[in-house]
Amino acid sequence: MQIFGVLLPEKDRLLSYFGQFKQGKGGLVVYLALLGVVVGGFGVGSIFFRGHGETINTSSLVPWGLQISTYVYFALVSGGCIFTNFFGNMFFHAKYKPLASRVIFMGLITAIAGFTALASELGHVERMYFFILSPNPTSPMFWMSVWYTADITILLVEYVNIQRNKHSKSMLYVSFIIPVITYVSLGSLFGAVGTMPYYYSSLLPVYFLFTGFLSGNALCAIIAAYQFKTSGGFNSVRPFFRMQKIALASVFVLTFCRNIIGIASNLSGYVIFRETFFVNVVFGMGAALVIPFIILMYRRTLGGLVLSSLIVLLTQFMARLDLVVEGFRVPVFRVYDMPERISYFPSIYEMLVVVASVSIVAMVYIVCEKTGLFEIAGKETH
Amino acid sequence: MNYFTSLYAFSCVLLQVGVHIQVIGEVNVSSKFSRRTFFKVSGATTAGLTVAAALPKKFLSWAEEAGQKDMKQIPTFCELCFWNCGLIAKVENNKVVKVDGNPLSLRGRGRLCGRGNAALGALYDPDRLKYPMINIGKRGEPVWKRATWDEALGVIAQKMKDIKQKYGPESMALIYHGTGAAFWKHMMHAYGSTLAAAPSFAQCRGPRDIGFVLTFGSDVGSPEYYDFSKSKYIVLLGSHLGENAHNSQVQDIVKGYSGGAKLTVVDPRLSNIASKAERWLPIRPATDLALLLAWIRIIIEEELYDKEYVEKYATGLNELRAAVQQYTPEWAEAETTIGSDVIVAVARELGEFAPNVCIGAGRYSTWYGDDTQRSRAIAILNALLGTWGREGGYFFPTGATVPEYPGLPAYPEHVEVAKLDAAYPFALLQTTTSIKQASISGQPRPVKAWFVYGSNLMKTLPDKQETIKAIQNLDLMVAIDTMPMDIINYADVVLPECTYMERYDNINVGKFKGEAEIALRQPTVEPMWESKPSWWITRELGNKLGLAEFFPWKDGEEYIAKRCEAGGIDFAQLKRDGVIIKKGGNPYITDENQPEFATPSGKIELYSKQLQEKGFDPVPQYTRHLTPPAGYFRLLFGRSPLHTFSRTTNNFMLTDLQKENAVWVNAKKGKELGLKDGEYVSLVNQDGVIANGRIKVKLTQRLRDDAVYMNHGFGVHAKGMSRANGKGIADDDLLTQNAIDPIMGGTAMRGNFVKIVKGA
Amino acid sequence: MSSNEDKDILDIMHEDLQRALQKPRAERRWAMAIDLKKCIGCHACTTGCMSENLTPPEIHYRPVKEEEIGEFPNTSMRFLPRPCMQCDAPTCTPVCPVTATYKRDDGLVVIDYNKCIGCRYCIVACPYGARSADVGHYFTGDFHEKTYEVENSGEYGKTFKRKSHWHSPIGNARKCHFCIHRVEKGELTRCTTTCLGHATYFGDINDPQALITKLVSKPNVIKYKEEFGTKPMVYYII
Ligand SMILES: Nc1nc2c(c(=O)[nH]1)N[C@H]1C(S)=C(S)[C@@H](COP(=O)(O)OP(=O)(O)OC[C@H]3O[C@@H](n4cnc5c(=O)[nH]c(N)nc54)[C@H](O)[C@@H]3O)O[C@H]1N2
Ligand SMILES: Nc1nc2c(c(=O)[nH]1)N[C@H]1C(S)=C(S)[C@@H](COP(=O)(O)OP(=O)(O)OC[C@H]3O[C@@H](n4cnc5c(=O)[nH]c(N)nc54)[C@H](O)[C@@H]3O)O[C@H]1N2
Ligand code: SF4
Ligand code: SF4
Ligand code: SF4
Ligand code: SF4
Ligand code: SF4
Ligand SMILES: [Mo]
Repeated sequence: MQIFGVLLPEKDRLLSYFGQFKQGKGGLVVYLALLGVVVGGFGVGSIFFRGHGETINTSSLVPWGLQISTYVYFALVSGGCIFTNFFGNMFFHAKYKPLASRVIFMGLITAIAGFTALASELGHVERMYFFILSPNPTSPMFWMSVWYTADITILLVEYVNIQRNKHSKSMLYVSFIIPVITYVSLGSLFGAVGTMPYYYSSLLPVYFLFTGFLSGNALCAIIAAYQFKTSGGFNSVRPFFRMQKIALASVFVLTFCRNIIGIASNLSGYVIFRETFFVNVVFGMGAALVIPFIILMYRRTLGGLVLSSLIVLLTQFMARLDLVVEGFRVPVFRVYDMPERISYFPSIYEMLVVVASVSIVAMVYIVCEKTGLFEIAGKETH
Repeated sequence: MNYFTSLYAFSCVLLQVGVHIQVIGEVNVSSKFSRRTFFKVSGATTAGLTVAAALPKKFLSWAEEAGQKDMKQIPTFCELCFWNCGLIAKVENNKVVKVDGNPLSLRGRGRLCGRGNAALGALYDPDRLKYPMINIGKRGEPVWKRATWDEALGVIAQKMKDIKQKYGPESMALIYHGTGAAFWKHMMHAYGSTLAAAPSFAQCRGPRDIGFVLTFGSDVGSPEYYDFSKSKYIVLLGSHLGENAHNSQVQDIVKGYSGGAKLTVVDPRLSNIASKAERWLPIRPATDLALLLAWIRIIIEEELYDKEYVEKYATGLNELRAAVQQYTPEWAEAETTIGSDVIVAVARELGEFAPNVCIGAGRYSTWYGDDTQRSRAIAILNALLGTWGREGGYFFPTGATVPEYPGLPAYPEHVEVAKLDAAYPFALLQTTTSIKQASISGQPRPVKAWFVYGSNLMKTLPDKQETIKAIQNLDLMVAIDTMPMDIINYADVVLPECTYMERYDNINVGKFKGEAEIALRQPTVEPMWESKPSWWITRELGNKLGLAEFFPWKDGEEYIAKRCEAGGIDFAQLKRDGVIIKKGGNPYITDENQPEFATPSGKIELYSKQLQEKGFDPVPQYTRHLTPPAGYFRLLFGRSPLHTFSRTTNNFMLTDLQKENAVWVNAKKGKELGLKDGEYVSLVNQDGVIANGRIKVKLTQRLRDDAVYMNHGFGVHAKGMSRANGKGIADDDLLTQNAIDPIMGGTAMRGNFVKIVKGA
Repeated sequence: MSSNEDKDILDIMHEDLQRALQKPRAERRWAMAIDLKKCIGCHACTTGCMSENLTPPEIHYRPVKEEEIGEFPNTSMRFLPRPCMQCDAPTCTPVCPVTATYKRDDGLVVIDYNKCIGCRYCIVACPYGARSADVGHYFTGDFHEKTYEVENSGEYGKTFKRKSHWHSPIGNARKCHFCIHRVEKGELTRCTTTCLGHATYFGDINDPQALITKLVSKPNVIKYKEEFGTKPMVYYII
C-alpha cells in the first residue's frame, strides 16, 4: 500500500516542510509541540528507564493516577472523534464531508497518544504479549484491549478509505459500532468494579460514551473552526454547535445521575459523593458543562465555539482525573498512619506524560495539516 | 431540543437501574459484622483452647528437616527490648535476609513481637553510627570530627587517667542499659569504679521491686514470675500488655484469659489488654493506692484472705488491719471514681478465686513518688490471697548460672567513698537520680565522667534541663551507641557499637517456671562500617589504660566458649541452638517445697518494721496527689506495640507503620475544646515548658477526660536520625515536676499537667 | 481436646500441616482462622510478614486494624488482622487481563510475578484492600544494594530479587499468599508462628481432623465483607 500520499503526506511536501522547519519557518505551535514531545518524551523515558518508584506518585492506595486518566481522556477523545464522524456523516452529510479525514485522523492519533500514557503506567509494559499468550476472557481490561486494537485497525482502514476516496456506508457503520463497543468496555472496566463505589455503576459505560462524544466533538469543533476560519465556510461549522449542545446536555444529565445516586447511597465508600458534591456541582457540572452550553447559546460565532470547546477539553480532562482518582479517596482498609482521606498529587513525570501525549497529537496533526495530508482526499473528489 | 428531551428520558431509566443496584448492595451489607453482632456473639462464647508453652524440638522451623535449606540459619537473641527473645537469622550472600523466632527460647517460644520482627530495620539502617567521632564543638552543639578507633580510645584513656588522679576512680560513672553493659561494668571495675546505674531501676522497675523485696524478701524478676497462664483471676494496674509487648508474658496472659481466667484491668485508659477484660476500671490517675487499700480492707474485714497461708507465712496482720480501717469502699469511690459496688465485687471475686489469683505488680512503676508503697500494697494484697508460690499466682523461678571468664585477676580493692544514694535508704541498686545530683552539686562527692552505654538519657531521665546541667559539669562524657540519638549530641566522644545482629555479647540467663534458659548472642553477619562490639571496644580501651590483664580473650567467641567450658555448658550446642534449657525446680509451694522469705523477720511482712525504722509508713497510707488545674490534663504515657522507647524510632520497618506519636484526648472533651482528629497541636506544661515540635490529636473513647496519653520515645531531636528527627512530641520534654520516691530514689514521671495549644 | 491441652497450638497445626502435605495438592484447601477474642493488637503478624516476604515500604500483606467500639466508659476494641482472604470466589482474578493472578487447584489465589504486567486492576477490584502495587521503593534509599532489600524473598517458592525496576516483583501487584513457600516446605505461615496472641490458625479445612476445621465449624465464626460474594477462606472467630 502507498504510504506517502495516503497514510502520510506526500514525500516532497514533507521534505519541503522539513526544509522550512529547519529555517525556523515551521510555525510557532509546531516548535512548541516539538519541545513538548522532547520534554514529554524525556518524562516517559524516565518513567520507563528509572522505574515508577523514582518517578511517579501512584501507590497501593492510589493505584491509578494521572497516567490512567490521561489514557482514558485520550481514548475517549478518540472515541468522540469517531462519533462526531458518524453523526456528521449521518446528519450533516455535505457540510461535514470536508472534515472527515481530519476527524478520523485525529481519532487515530489520540488513540495512539492515549496508549502512550497507558504504557507508561504499566509496571511491566514489556510483558504486554501476555494479552495474546494468556488472555483472560472474564477481564474487562482484556476485552478493552481487544476492542481497542480492533478500533485502531478499523480507524486505520476507514482513514485510508477516506484518503483514497473509497468511503463506504457500511464501513461507516462498522467504524461506529466498534468504537461504541470499545468505549463501553472501557466504561465497564471501571463500572464493573463492584468494590469501588465511585466507579461501580451501570451508568458508567454510557457516561463514558457521552463524555467521549463531548470531548471528541470539542476537539473536532476546534479543528473545524480552524479549518473554516481560513476557508470561510461557516456553514460547515454549524453542525458542531448543535452536536456540542447535545453532548453537553447529555453529559449533564448523566453526571447529575451519577452524583444523585452517589449521595443517595448509604454504603460506606459512597461518602465520597457527598464530600465532593459541591465541587461536582459547581465545577463538574457548572463550570464544565453549563458555562460552555451558555456560551454556545449566546455566542453563536466561531470564537464562541472555540472558547466553549477549549473549556470542554480542559474540564473534561480534569473530570477524567477526578473520576479515576477520587475513587481511591476513601481508603478501603484504613490502618496505621493512613489518613482518613487519601490525597494524591501527580509527580512532574506524570505531568510530562500528559505533555507528551498532548504534544504528539498537536505536532503530528499540525504537520500533517501543513503538509496537505487532508487535501489528498479532497483532491480526488474535485 | 428534541434530542435533549429524549436523552433525558433515557437517562431517567438508567437512573432507576442505578438506584436499583445500590439498593441490592445495601441489603447485603447487613452480613458484614456490625458492632451489635460482635458484642452479642463475643459475649456468648468462650475460647475453645487452652495451650501450654513447651515446644517440642521437632517444630524447629529452622532445623534441617524444613525451611529454606539454602539459607544459613544462625540463632541469636533480640535486643530491640530487654526481653531478649531468641531469634533465628537467615543469612544469604553475607546478608541477613529474614528473621524468625527461635522455638527453643523461653522468652519468645518461636515468636517475635512486632518490634523483634523488625530486626533488619535496625541492622540495615543507613543512619547508623559508622565510625568513632570526637566532638570538637560544644556539648549540645557538637561539631564532629571523624576519628580512628585508636585516636578516640586514646583521648578517652588519657582523660580517664587524669580523672583518676584528680578525683579518684569512683568519680567515673557508667549509665547503662542492655546486654553489652557487662563488658563496660567489667572495664569500670578493672579501672576502679563501682559507680554504675541503669535507668531500668530508678526510672522503671525500682519501686515495684523494692516494694516486693520489703514484703517477700524477693523481687518479681525480669521476666516476671507471674503465672498468668494458670491464673483463674488476674488484676492489672496499668501494665498494658499487648502494647507492652514483652513476648512470653503477653502469650501467658492471653492464654490465661482465653483459658477462662477472669481479668480486671485498672487503667484510666482502655489499654489493649483492658479491652479483653471482663472488668475495666477507668480509675482516676494517681489514685491506685486508694483502690488497693480499700481492697485490702474488704479482704481482711470479710475474711476473704487465705488464713492458713497468712498464719503460716506472714506477720503483721493486726497492724495491717488497724492501719486500713479508714479506707472504706465509699471513701475509695470518692478518690478513684470507681463505684464502691465494683470495688467490693472485685474484692469478693479475688477472695473467691484465691489463691489462683495474680494481682500483677506491673513493670514500669515510677509513677507518682509513692510508688514503693503502691507496690507494697500490691504485694500485701497478694500475700493476703496467698498467691506467692501458688499456681496462677507468682511462681518460684528456676535459675541457672554461667561462671565468669576463668582466671581473671582480682579487681583493684574498692576504696570506701561516700555513698551516693544515702538519701534513699532502700535504693538497693545505684540510682541514676543521685549520679545526676552528684554531677551537678559535687555532693556528697564529685562525679566527673559519664560513660553512657545504650541509654538515650536525654529522653530517659525526666527533667532534661537538669540532665544537661549535669553533663555540662563533667570532664568527660562518652556515648556508646548504635544510632545518632539525642544523647550523642552531648558527648565528647561517640563510640559506634555494632548492632546485636553483628556481635558476640554477654551470655543471657533467664529464670522461668520449672526451667531456665542460657542464651547466646552471636554475630549473624560481619559488623558494618567501622562499628565494633563491646568486648572489643572495652578490651582495646583496657589495653590503653594498662589493664590488659583484665581482657585476656582473643575474641568474643573465645570469651563465651571459655565461660561455657568453665560452667560445663556445651558451647557447640549453644552455638547451634542459640539456647540451652535447664529443667528442674518446683514452681509452687508444696509440703516439700517450703518458701523462704529474705526479710528481717523471715516472714512475709505485711507490716514493715524496716520501713518504720527509717521513718516511712510501715503499712502503706494514702496521701492525695495533685489534680490537674483547670484547663490542664494529667500527662500519661505508655508503649506503642511497634516501638521501644526512642531506640526504634528510626527503624524503617517500624516507621513504615508508625512514624510519630499522637496525643490521645477523650473524644467528648476534645470536641468541647474544638479539637479535630488528626490535627497538629503543641503542648505546654504547668511550668510553662513548651514541648519541642508538634503532635497529632487522636480523639478517642478509650480515655478519661482528665488525662491525655501518648507513646513515649518519639519527639527525637537529633539531625542524624532522618526518619525520627522532629516526629511527634516527647513526653519527656514536659516532665519538670518529678517527685522522688523517698524510699528508693525513683523519679516519678506522671505528676505533670499539660495544656493543648491549637494551631501548631 | 484434653489430650491437646498442654500442646502448643503451633505443634498441633504443624502436625496437621504435615498430614495435609501427604495429599495431592488439589485435595488440600488452605484456610486461616483468626480469633478476635485472643488477638491483642500487638502487630507482630504484620512485621513478621514484612520480614518474611521482604516487603518494601508501604506494602503490608497483613495490617491490623484497630477499631474503637462504644462510648467512654463503655468502650471496647476490635483488632482486625487482614491477610488476603484467599477468596473462593475472588473478585481480583476475573479482572486480570493476562491471567497472571488466578486461583490454584488448592484454592490459593496466587500472582505469577513473571506474568503480571502491573496494570493494577486487581488492586482496584479487591474489596479488602489486600493487594498492593510494588512500585519499586526501598527503605534504605541509595544504600539498598548493600542490604537484604535486593535479596531473595523466596515468595511462591521461586527466586525473586528486587534488584531494579526491571526485576519482579517490582512493577507487580503483591499480596499475602498464605506463605505458600513455607507451607509447601512444611512450615506454618509466618503470621501464625509469630502470633503473640496465639490467635492465628492455619491449615487444611478439607481435613476433618485438623484443628482449623474444628474451629471454623463452630457458630461463633464469621467472614469479612461477605456481601461482595467473595467467599473468603479467612474465618474470624468472635
Ligand atoms: N512495645 C513495647 N513494649 C515494651 C516496652 C517498649 O518500649 N515497647 N518497654 C518495656 C519496658 S522497659 C517496660 S518498663 C514496660 C512498661 O510497660 P508497663 O509496665 O505495662 O507500663 P505501665 O506504666 O504499667 O502501663 C502503662 C499504662 O498505664 C496506664 N496508667 C497511667 N497512669 C495510671 C494510673 O495512675 N493508674 C493506673 N492504674 N494506670 C495508669 C496508662 O494509661 C497505660 O495504659 O514495657 C515493656 N514493654
Ligand atoms: N518520659 C519517660 N521516660 C522514661 C520512660 C517513659 O515511659 N517515659 N520509660 C522508662 C523506662 S521503663 C525505661 S526501661 C527507660 C529506658 O531507657 P533507655 O534504655 O535509655 O531507652 P531507649 O530510648 O531505648 O534508649 C536506648 C539507647 O540505646 C541505644 N542502643 C540500642 N541498641 C544498642 C546496642 O546494641 N548497643 C548500644 N551501645 N546502644 C544501643 C539506642 O540507640 C538508644 O540511644 O526509660 C525510662 N524513662
Ligand atoms: S519482646 Fe520483642 S523486642 Fe523485646 S526482645 Fe522479644 S522480640 Fe525483641
Ligand atoms: S482478598 Fe482480595 S486479593 Fe485476596 S483473593 Fe480475595 S479478592 Fe483476591
Ligand atoms: S496487576 Fe498484574 S495480577 Fe493484577 S490484574 Fe494486572 S496483570 Fe493481573
Ligand atoms: S500468611 Fe504469610 S504472606 Fe500471608 S499475611 Fe501471613 S505471613 Fe504474610
Ligand atoms: S500477632 Fe496475633 S495477637 Fe498480635 S496482632 Fe497479629 S493476630 Fe493479633
Ligand atoms: Mo522499663
